[in-house]
Amino acid sequence: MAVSHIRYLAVILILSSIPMLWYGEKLISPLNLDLQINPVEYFEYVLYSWQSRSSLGTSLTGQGWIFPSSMFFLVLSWLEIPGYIAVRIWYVLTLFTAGTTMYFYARYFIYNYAFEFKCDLSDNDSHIKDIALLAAIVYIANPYVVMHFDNGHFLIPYSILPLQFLILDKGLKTGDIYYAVLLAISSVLVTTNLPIVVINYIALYLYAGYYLIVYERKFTFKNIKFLAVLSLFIFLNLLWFYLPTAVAILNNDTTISGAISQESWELYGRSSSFSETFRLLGIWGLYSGGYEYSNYYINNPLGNIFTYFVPILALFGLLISRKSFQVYFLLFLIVFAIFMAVGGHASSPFRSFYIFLYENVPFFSMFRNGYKFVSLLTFAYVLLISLLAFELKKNKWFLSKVHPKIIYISIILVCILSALPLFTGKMFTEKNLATIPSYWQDVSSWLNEDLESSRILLLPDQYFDTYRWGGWGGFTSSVPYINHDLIYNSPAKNNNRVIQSLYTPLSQIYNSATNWIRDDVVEGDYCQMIGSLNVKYIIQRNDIDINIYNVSPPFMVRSFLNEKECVEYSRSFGELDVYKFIGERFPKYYIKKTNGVKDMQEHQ
Amino acid sequence: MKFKSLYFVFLVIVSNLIATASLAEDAILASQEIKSTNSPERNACCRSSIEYKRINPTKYRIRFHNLRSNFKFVFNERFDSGWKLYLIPYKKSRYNERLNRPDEMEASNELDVNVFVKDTNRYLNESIISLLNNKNSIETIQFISKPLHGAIQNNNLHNGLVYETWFPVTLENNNSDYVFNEDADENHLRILASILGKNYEGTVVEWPKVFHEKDKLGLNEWFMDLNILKELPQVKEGNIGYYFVDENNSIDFDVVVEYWPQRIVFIGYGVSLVSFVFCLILLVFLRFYTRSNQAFIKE
Repeated sequence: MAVSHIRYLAVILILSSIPMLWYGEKLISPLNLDLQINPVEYFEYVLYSWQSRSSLGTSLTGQGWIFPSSMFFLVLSWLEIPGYIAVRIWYVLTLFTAGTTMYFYARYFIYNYAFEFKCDLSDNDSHIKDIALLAAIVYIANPYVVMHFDNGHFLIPYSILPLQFLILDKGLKTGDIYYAVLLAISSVLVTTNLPIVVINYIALYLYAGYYLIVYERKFTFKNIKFLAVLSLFIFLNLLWFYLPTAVAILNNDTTISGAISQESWELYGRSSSFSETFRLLGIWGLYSGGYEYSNYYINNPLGNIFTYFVPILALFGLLISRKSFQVYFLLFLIVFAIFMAVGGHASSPFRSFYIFLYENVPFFSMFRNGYKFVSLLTFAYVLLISLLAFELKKNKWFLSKVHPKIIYISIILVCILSALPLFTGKMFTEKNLATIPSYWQDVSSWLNEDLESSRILLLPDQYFDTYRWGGWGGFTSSVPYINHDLIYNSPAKNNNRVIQSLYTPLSQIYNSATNWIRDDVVEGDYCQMIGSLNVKYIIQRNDIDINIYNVSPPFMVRSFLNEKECVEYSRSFGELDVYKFIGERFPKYYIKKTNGVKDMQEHQ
Repeated sequence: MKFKSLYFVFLVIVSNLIATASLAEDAILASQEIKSTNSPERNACCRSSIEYKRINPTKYRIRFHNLRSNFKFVFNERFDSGWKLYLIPYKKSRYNERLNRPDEMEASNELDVNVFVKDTNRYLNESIISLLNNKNSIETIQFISKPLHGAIQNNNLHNGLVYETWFPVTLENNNSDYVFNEDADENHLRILASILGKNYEGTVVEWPKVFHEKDKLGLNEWFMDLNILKELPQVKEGNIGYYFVDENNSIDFDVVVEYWPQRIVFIGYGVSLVSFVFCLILLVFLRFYTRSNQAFIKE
């Protein structure tokens, strides 16, 4: 890499680091806490298609988390880097990758654009680099990044997208197999949530088709060979990633079908609209008040104005740029992304077409969260804004009035203001930050000494576990460190009704807010039921924040457990009370006597 | 064809007789179990038991001991049709191991350890645990739980190969030619018919999926019909089989319970790894070899 790029990359690195300067030494819970504190266990968790740690076992298609995220934390833990530092490196690296790839792609894009229109580039290369830097900054600082930043995984494909476009474009122009192989290798870097990854490939293949049909207007053998090799290697390199999910969908896996029925496209798009999508907003959670920065985008006039500035700048770019096939493709990408994001909205003219696709096209339901397509919209906006900067730089009249650096800085300022929460420490609330108390490690060590395969029942019931020390929604299995199979209530509609039945007596006493999900419970003796489920220990977590979801207070749980003859208090670790089940317990496997074939028929 | 049908009717009659006999045996066993609470050692040899090991979240190895009648086998995990049960054939080494009871462990000076050693030796004598991976020293032995409802977790059982259950013989044959008997269960007959004339040669056998059920708590449950099992080859000296018959006429056999979709995942890992390595090699080749050739041609 030429030394001349280093100062630009340094700027990108500094900007990428700012969001992580605010949160002290705490773990960050929207990114899975298991990943941060126990990456080895987490790696095993995502390696297999069944996990027995929760919900009495459930199918799992989490292979997308193996690489790069799980592997990254695993390597850092081998290097003995603490989890709270590892998570900060992860976030910074995600932004830095996004900025760097866009920097190089924007530079390439502008050169191509200038070359096509025979623009004079004799002054020097540094102006192009300035524009590329501007594009990189806008790609980091925009509302889309703010909306998906906390998740920690969803920005991976977004970060790599410019690099993929760069390789693809070079490959299409030269027909060189080398680029097909290179792109196939880069595809391994882009694995996380399946739909969000597939969106990248949709965009890439749209571009390839567009290039060959609109620009080349012919299918040469070289091009066909290039695309065939590319498709083959992407197919094979990513087989490990999508095959389990595809098989699960084809087998009507209950976890996936449950998610589809529970989270429809209407639910995801309920608060969205064309205008919200236009300004790169529209994600469901923003309007439910779940984020600290919601207020900035919904009620703050500053946030409202600057989020509209970003698309307006892109529109200016579209208007004043000379119309190359690349510009037309960006326009096409914008229309496509908006259709996929809000095509089913009540005011959409394409509503019936969208619903037809949703109901009839296989796998289309995976795109029910339309906001994920806003990544393509952002990508197009950024390139149009860089074209705007380039055209203004070439405009002699404009240059006589304003210095180009002022234009660049103004655009950067507007974009940074549109993503202000990212740079002012407003991305995570106190509940999202966690320092796990040492008693959790103590109880874990104590329980992990017991190697017998058994379950632990967690009390009290809570819809999403939130501890007073933090940790909202950040755990795979609601508790830190413990490697035994666990029973806890989860919000999933397809959750085992037996599990729900275990929490019903308590919630009925307290009239808990979570009663509504228990309309179909199993009647039976409480002790018998937990014994049948191989529960050996019960942990009452007195550090749960009982004010969230209005769960049973500790004294009530204690008196409930003390009434049970099958339960005996064992010991306490800090805020945790451990009880031992002393009733008749059934193991992981056991034999049940039967009266032969007839019994089987009766059972059926 | 006629002979096959007649043979099949014969099988059905025999299996019904065995089922009736097993009911009586159940009653005897039940009374034995009640008695055994007062004197555990006396009847230990006749009690049905299982030992199991969790190999990974998608694979468990289970060894059944002293079984005499049909039973239901419960796997305490949420029901999913992806879970399959495979009968594992006994290879020669396992046969020898079965004949030669493992050595008892030597006592230790430490009190806690000694309790463990004493328990383990008792389980070995009672034949409710078997394999210790030839590790009879306290330093190398893995965890062995106390019996609970006739089940012992024995982490010394071997893991087996990843692909040991791939390409199994199935015990279901929809085109089988059998005579329907309204007193017998249709699935049962179909499975019995499918066993006829198959050549197993030590292949893993997939237990019929019609016997995989959801119990009242939504857990996995398999109906284990020993009459079907007994139609498969028995282990004898020199030949591979699926079950042992003890002196007391009870049988022992091994199964693997596996979550079927995991093999898809493994296939995906394997193919992608090979493809990725191939891509890297190809990239280096294209970068240095073909480009240097191009430069040479230009010169």
